[in-house]
Amino acid sequence: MRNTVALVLAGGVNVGYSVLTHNRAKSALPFFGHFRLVDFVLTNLSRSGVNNVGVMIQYLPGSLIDHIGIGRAWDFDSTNRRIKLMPPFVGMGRTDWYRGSADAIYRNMDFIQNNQAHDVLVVCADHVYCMDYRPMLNLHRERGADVTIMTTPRPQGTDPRHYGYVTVGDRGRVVDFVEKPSQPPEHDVVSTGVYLFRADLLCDRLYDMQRMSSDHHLPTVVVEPIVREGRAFACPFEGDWHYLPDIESYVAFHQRLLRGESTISPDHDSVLTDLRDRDLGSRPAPYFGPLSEVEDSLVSPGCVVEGKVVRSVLSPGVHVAPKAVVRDSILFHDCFVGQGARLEGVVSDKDVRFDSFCRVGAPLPDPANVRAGQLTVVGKSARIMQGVVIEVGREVPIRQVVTREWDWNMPGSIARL
Amino acid sequence: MSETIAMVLAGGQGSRLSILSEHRAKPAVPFGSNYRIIDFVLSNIMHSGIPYAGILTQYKPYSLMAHIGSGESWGFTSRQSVLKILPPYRGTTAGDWYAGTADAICQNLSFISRFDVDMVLVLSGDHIYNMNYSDLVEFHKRHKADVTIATQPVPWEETARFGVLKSDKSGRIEGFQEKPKSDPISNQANLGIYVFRRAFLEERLREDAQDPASTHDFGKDLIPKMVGESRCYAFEFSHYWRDVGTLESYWEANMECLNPRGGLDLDAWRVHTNWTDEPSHFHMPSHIYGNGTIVNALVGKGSSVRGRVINSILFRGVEVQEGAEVRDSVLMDGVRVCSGARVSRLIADKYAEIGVRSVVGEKETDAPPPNFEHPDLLASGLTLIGRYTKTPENCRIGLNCLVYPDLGPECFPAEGLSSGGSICNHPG
Repeated sequence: MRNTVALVLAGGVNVGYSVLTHNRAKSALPFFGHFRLVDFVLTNLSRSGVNNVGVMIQYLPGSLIDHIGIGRAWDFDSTNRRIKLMPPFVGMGRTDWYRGSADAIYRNMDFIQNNQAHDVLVVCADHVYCMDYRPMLNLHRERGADVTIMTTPRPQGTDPRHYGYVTVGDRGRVVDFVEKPSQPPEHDVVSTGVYLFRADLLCDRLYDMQRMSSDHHLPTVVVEPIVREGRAFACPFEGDWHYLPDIESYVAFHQRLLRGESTISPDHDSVLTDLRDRDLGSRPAPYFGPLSEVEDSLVSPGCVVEGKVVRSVLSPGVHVAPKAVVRDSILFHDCFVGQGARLEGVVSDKDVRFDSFCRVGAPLPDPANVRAGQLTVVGKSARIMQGVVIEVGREVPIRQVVTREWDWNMPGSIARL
Repeated sequence: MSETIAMVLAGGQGSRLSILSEHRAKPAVPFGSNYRIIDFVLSNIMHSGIPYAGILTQYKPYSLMAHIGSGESWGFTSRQSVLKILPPYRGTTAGDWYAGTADAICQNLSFISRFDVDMVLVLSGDHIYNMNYSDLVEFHKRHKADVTIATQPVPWEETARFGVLKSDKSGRIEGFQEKPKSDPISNQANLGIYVFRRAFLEERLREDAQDPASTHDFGKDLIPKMVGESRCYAFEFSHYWRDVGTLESYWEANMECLNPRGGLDLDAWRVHTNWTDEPSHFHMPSHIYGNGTIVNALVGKGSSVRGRVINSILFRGVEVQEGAEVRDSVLMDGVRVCSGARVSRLIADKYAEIGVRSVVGEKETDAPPPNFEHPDLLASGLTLIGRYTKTPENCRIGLNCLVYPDLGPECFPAEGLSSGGSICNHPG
C-alpha cells in the first residue's frame, strides 16, 4: 500500500469492562489466550503491506506502549516500515489533551504530510476482524473517492445505538451517513470504523474544523460533511466483524470462538502478537495431569491443568490444581486456582490467586448470551483467600485481598457490577 | 563470568537417532514439545551469564543455523556479548572438515583468542540438563585445575557407554577409562562438560594436532593423556542429565517432561528457544474441542484435540481428530492423527499423517521382533515414522517398525506392516 499511511485510534476512554480497564486501554485487553484486542488491527495492517502506521494513544496507554513497542511482532521494525506511537503533547500553542479522534489526527498531521501520503486509512484499535485493506484501497482509487467507508451488516444482538449508519445508493455511492443516531434508521448497514480518506481532503477538513468547529469527532466533523458535499463510497466487508462494547459481549464472543462458531479464528488466521511479553514464546506446552478433565476450552502455553476446565479460556501460565473446577470463565495470565476451588462465570485479570476451596460466581445460564450481572470480575493481582465465597455479579478491585471476614457492604470497597 | 567462553560441539550426526537426524544435526532434533535439544545448553550458557559462545557445526547444519540465528533468543544481543556459528572452513594455510571434537576446537583457537578469557568451557550440544556453569567454574578456579570434568554416577552395568573416572577425596582425577568393556574403575561418568584453563587447552590441542596417531577426540585422546600429568579434577553434578543419543533414550527423556519431580522441569528451568523461525500458527494456545480426554500429556502450541491423548508429548500444531487415540507417543510439529486412528509408542516426525482408522504400535504377539534392518536401533517396541509420510486408511503398523520420510499411502503394502518391518524410500 504505497503512498498510504494508517492511523490507529487507540486513545478513547473505556467503559463497560469494569476493573479490567481500570489500568489499561481496552485495545490492550488480553483476548483469546495470549492475544490482545489490538493484535487484529495490527496484523491486518502488517499483512496489507501498510508501511507507516501511527497509533493515537491517550487513555491509560501503558500496557499498549509495552505491547506494541517498536512493532516488532508485526514486522514494523524494518528499514522501510515503522509504527509510531502518538501521545498528546504540549507545544505549538496547545497545552490540552486530544479533544477527540479528529483532533488527534489534526495534531499529528505532519505524519501524513511528511510521508507524502496520498491516502489515509483510519481504523479503530479495538475491533475484531481479519481483513486485507488492499482491495478497499484499489476500489477507493478506481472510484476517485474522497472517502470510502467499510460497511458491514450490524452484528446481531447488539445495541443499535452504538453504530454509524450508512445509506448506500447506486454503485456504492454513500447517500447518507449518520453517526450513533438516537433513532436508528430502518436498514442495518453500519460503518466498521474503517475509513479511507484522500489525504489532502482530510487535511483541509481538519483545518476547517480547527477554525470553525467545537466538535472533534471524526465521523461527525469529517465524514458526514464529505458525504454531503463530496464523493463518498461504501465498501462492504464480507467477513465477520465485531465490536465488543462490554464485558458481557466479550465473554459471549469467546464462547463462540471456543465452539468454532465464528469465521474469525485467531489460530487459523495466524494473528500476530508480542510473544516477548512474559516470555510467552519460550514457555513450555500446557501440561494436562492424570486427573484433568477438559471440555471445549483453550489452554495456553505454560498452563498446568490438574482439575476440571469447561468452556473456558486460560491465558499463559494459569495453574488449575486438582479437584478445582473452572467453568464458563476467562482467566488471564499466571492466575492460580487452588485445590477444590470453583470458578464459574468468572473473568479474572492477571496474577490472581484463588486459594483452595474458594467459590466464585455462578454458572452462566446461556454462555452465548451473557447478561449484565451474570459475571464476576476479579482485578489484577487480587487474592481470594481459602474458602471465601464470592457471589455472582461482584467485582473485586485490583490487588484486593478478600478474606472470609470481608465486609461486602463496606462502601467503596467492593462494588456490585 | 566474562572470563569464560563456551564452545558448543554441535556437529555430530547422532546416527542412532535414525531418520530423526537424517535431515538435521542431532542438536537440532525437536524435543519436549516446544524446544530443540540445543536449547538446553544455550539456555544454561545464558543463565550462567557467559557472554561469549561459539557453536561448532558440521553435519547438516541448516536447521541448526536457522534455529540459532543471531543468538538473540538466548540474550546474545548487546555489544558485550558474542555468539558465533563456526562451521568448518578452508584457508590459505589450514582448514579442513573437523576430524574430531578436539580438532574442531583447535581449528577455532583464533576465534577464542579474540576474547580476553582465562577459561574455555567445552560443551556438547546434544544433552538435556539444567546447570549453572558458574559453580563448575568456581570449583575449577578454587582447585587451580588445568581441566575440570563434570561427572555423574551411572549404574555400573552402563559404564561401558561412558568414559568413567576415578577421583580422590579432593576431586583430583586419578584414573580414566573410555567406554570400558570390563572392570570399570569407577561408575562416575564423564558428562562431556569440560572447563579448561585456556593456555593449557591451547598447548594440548596444538600438541594433539601434531600427533598422527590421534583421532582428535577429547574423550578418547586428550583426556586420558591429561589424567596423571596435569591437574585434572572431577566435579560431581547430581541433577538431571540425559544424553538422548538413542531412540529409546530420546523417547524416555521426552516422557520425563511429564513428571517435573523426576528432575526435568521445563517450567522451572526457564529454557529459552528461538520461536521466531517457526510459523506463526505454531504460536497459538491449544484448543480442546468437545469432550477431548487428555491424561498426563503436553499438548503443544496451536494443537487441536478432539480425541484422546494419554501419556504423550504433542509438539506444535498437532491435530488429533475425533475418535482418535494417542498413547505413549511423541508426535512432532504438524502431525495429524486422523479420525478413528489409534497410535501407541509412536515417534512421528514433523507433518507425518496417520490415516483414518489406522492402527500403529499395537501388539500382535507377546514378543515383537526387533527391527529387521536396524535391530540395534529399534528393539524396545517403539515405532518411528519419518516426516511428511502419510499412512493409508485402515492401515496396521506393528512395533519396532521404521517408516522412512516422504512416503505416500501408495508406498504401504495392503496388509500393512507387521512388527519389525521397514518401509524405505531409498532404492533397494
